[in-house]
Amino acid sequence: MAACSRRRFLQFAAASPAALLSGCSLFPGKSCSKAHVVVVGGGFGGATAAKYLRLLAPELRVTLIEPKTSYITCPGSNWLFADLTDIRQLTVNYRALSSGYDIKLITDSVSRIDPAGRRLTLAGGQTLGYDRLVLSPGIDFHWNTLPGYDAATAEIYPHAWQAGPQTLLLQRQIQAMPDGGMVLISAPAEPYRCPPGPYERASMIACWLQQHKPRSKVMILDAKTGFSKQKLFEAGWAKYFGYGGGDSMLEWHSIADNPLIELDTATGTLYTDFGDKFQGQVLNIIPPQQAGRIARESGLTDTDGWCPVNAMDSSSRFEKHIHVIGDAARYAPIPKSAFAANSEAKACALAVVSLLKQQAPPDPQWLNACYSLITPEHGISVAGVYGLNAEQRVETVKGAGGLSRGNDEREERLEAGYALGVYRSLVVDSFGSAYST
Amino acid sequence: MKSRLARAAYRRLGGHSAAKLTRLNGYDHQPKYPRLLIKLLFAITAGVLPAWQTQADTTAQAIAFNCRNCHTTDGAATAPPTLDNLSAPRIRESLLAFKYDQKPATIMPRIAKGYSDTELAAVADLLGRH
Ligand SMILES: Cc1cc2nc3c(=O)[nH]c(=O)nc-3n(C[C@H](O)[C@H](O)[C@H](O)COP(=O)(O)OP(=O)(O)OC[C@H]3O[C@@H](n4cnc5c(N)ncnc54)[C@H](O)[C@@H]3O)c2cc1C
Repeated sequence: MAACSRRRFLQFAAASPAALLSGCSLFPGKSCSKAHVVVVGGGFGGATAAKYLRLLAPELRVTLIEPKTSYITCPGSNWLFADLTDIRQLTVNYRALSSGYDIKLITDSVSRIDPAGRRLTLAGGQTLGYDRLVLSPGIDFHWNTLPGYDAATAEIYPHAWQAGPQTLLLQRQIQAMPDGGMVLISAPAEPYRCPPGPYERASMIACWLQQHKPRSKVMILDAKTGFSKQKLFEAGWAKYFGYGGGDSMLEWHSIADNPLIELDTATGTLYTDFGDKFQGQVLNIIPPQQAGRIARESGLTDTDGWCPVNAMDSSSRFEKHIHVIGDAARYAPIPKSAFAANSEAKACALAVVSLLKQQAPPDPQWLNACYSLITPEHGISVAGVYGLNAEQRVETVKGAGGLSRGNDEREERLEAGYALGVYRSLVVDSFGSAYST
Repeated sequence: MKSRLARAAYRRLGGHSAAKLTRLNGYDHQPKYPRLLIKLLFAITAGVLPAWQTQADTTAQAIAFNCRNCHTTDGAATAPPTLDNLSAPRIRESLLAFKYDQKPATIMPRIAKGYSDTELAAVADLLGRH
């Protein structure tokens, strides 16, 4: 296999000089030889940034800091609920990045950043200097927005919004639920990681219930008045689950003006402001979110908890030498997705390499494409092309992007396949290799 | 929906085992590319490739990076097609046809409309350099 992968690597190199080798020819003149770029967080954003920094500027020193030795992708994790995948298939490691791309990997977490001294401290005590820092720490939760829902309660009523043990816990609870039971999903207000995620999850759970516990139901209680790909989801739900009818397996209720105010952990009951009461055998509570802790503790966030950036070069509005990408940063209208984190990372890598060579960064080009499965054979997508406007802010390119056409079985089937194919491609493009074992 | 059938179909669509996928995709679990090889590659090609200095070129590259999100793997039945065997004129022709709705597809028409004809041509030139 080693020979095979090497051939593959050479093919990639030959096939995509643009992607791999153009570094210093793209930026002639000064080299960034002695510069050290540290990437914090080995998720989709950080992994992609580290890889593309190396591809663009082979002479650069690139260090990636991530506490976990393997990473379980959130993308694909909803498919687990319909038995379409397993955790092993959703797990990647960092070996391809460290040995294939010559990236120095440190398995630890960053406990402190000193922007003035351009140094950071690891939990293990070691300190590290940097010329530029790329931060992609993902999200943390706003606990107790729903009183009583905190990290400990999440071990009883999972959020499953960071893939891994939480995902498996939710799956076990659904499997253990008696037929006729109710799965409640509480969906947060914007902005949050993966806008279509709760609705894909409800679809996948309904697929499984229909087969194994057909008298059961899944109900979404939504803090919003509408949601991503709503028309496409609702059409699919009507077709497969009787959505909109009296005995639908799947229900969606907006509680935007009647928010949840209490969780009775003893009975699994949710109470709303107006006194409505929802009881479920399984409760999946997806709390509101904010940038990962290290971003907040380093003074990189606004009062809303997210990191504002200069979109032109992805630098923090507060610290010139720190670049923030992925879910933690505010790139709206780009949604918080793995696809977008990957795209932001590439724009960031181009900017960082330019800045190190004291050149103006190229205009950033961002893309998002998110697939969701309604059933294993019915996929839908939303796409968006983004650029900078005259005020140097992120703007959706008009006339491009948008939703799947809908109501076309051939395309639905094709897009179900692409959901899978694109997932795999995105993982390989970001982490340098497909699977860990 | 018949779950077992659906699942079988899903497998047909590409829900392969990890081992099989590895074979299909040609990826090793633990690739070990000697550092020297990488350095050599960089060295050789850096000299051979033309210097891309214009704004148009860097823009094209920035756009082309995003093609890799979906078009990196091949071999699996359901993956978006690989670009690695396509010539620049072929890619340009397709991108323009997607943009002007002359070639039916699920997502590419929505994406291609985001770029000027010149940008699409420059992206095709980059991707077509094998
Ligand atoms: C159920 C679900 C389904 C989804 N499906 C899709 C999908 O189909 N397509 C899609 O595009 N997106 C999807 N997403 C969204 C996607 O998971 C996120 O947008 C993506 O992971 C964001 O990448 P990131 O790099 O910002 O953060 P993350 O992927 O969360 O990575 C952050 C990393 O930083 C590390 N870290 C944090 N703090 C520190 C520190 N102090 N020091 C060092 N390391 C640190 C963490 O360990 C983590 O590995 C889904 C999300 C969910 C929840």
